[in-house]
Amino acid sequence: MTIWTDLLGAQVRHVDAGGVRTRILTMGDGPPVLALHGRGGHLETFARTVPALATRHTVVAADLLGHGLTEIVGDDFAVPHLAMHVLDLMDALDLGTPALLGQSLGGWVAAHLAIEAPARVARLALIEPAGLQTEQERFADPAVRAAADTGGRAYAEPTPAAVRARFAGLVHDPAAIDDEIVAVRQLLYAPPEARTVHLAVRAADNTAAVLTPQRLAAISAPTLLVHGESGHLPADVLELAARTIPRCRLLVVPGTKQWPQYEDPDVVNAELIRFLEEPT
Amino acid sequence: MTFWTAALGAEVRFHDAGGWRTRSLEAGTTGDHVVMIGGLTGHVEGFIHNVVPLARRGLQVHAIDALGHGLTDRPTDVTYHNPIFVEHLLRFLDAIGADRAHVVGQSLGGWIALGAAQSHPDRIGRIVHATGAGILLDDDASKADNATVHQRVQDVTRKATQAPTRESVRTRLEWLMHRPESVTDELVDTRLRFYTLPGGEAGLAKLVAEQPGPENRAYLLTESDLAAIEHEVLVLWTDHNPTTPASVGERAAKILPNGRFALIEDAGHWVMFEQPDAFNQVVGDFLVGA
Repeated sequence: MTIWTDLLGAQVRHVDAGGVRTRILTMGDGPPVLALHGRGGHLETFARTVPALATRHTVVAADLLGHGLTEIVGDDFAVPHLAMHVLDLMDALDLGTPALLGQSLGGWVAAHLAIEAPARVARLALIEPAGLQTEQERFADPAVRAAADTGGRAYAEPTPAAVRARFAGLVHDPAAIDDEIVAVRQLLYAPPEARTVHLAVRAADNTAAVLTPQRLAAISAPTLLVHGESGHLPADVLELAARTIPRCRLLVVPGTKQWPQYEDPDVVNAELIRFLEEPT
Repeated sequence: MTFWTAALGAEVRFHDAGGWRTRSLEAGTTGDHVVMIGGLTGHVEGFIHNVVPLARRGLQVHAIDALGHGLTDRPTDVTYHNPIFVEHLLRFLDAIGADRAHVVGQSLGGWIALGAAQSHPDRIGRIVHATGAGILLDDDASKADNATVHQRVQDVTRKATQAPTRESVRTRLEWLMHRPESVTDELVDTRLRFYTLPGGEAGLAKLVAEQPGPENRAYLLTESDLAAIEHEVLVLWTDHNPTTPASVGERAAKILPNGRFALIEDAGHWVMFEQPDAFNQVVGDFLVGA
């Protein structure tokens, strides 16, 4: 199985989202779900997620502003600005009030939208979301610092080895990373501008967007918080978030890390479908 | 390289071609429209190594699954003879808002291109007829050979599509190639999916019965038909084509008033897939008028 054969029947299009040429993958029919990838990511993050959800939903996976094959516009890559682009995309696609699925940075953007535009978010599924800690707190963890260094190297010099090393940091078992996802990322990182975006995403001042307990308490959408068992999020941070978000369920996926949707798609897809169809 | 990485930057879309849902792999936002169509039971993946490179030549390229093929609709209320494929091509041009397009047709696709040029000359620009079908030369030997080729195409396709397995599909695909290793697992998986598409069985059986069947031979282009086509036509052949020999293509290129002939070596029927660099160069040069 390859990305292409997994996604047979899907459409890949470039659409205008508020003036930004935006790459999207769409598949299926039913209530809308919009999937948002993480730092340095691209919509292929959800290659193993989209077909399963598409059996019962209209699934859209998008490249965030400046990421993947979405156009680089401006120099603001802070979470609120990325979220604005997502809202523009929702309008452009006439998605109404989708469920948002976000991994890492995408989870932060999704949660930000659930707080700032609650009428536009039906449900929230957050996979190892960023934003639950300040950068200072996050970088106090040597594992996070090491992962950030590895990620930076993959951008600076997108060799297969560097890209694979970056991916290896996302999974519990490095053997789970196949050659194809490495090749995709290598191609997407090849243009020098990709590195500019990466640096800008890192340098962005997201202080005001941090998902503090006060902000989490304002999330009204039903929320599924997905944690990879070996993921970077500390247990106390996760549990506090799960307690603070009013309608939140915590799911821990054994044998996975930052990319449970890729490493154990069967479990994650089944849980996502269950969550998306739970009565509210 | 996988299909996904080869097509990175391209789009996969479904268009409503006058009521027939049509899958298209496309790239390019400016320049002339180009429609690429493959052979019997083929699909856009055959052009996976061509769409993006040709778009870089300043063309708007759309490789489509022909009617009854791939993920395009497989109606059972049509007869799968050449005019219905031409009709589908014209409806596709309407769907994308193209008054006129160049057509790159491989095998069956080449027949469709010539048929469209014949019946709707104003809608068709330049034509690439690659390891093509649809040409019936006047001499008896060529006529006999043409009938044999049709029968052989039907036989190998029936074998692959009736109770398809990975092995039967691989055998059918290897028949297309000069080098068996050109058939990747991904290509086998893709075609097996199309041969086993739920709800698609009846349409596929009808297609395989009718397109290479004897009644469709009425729509073959004879030498006098070819002589009446004014379009610029590049007749492209290979040194290991398993269907019609290159000599037929060479002769057709001479009969066509604005025909020319080119041969790409080390390739079988799927020249665009086995020798993409050579194919993209010669086809790209021709389409942009270089």
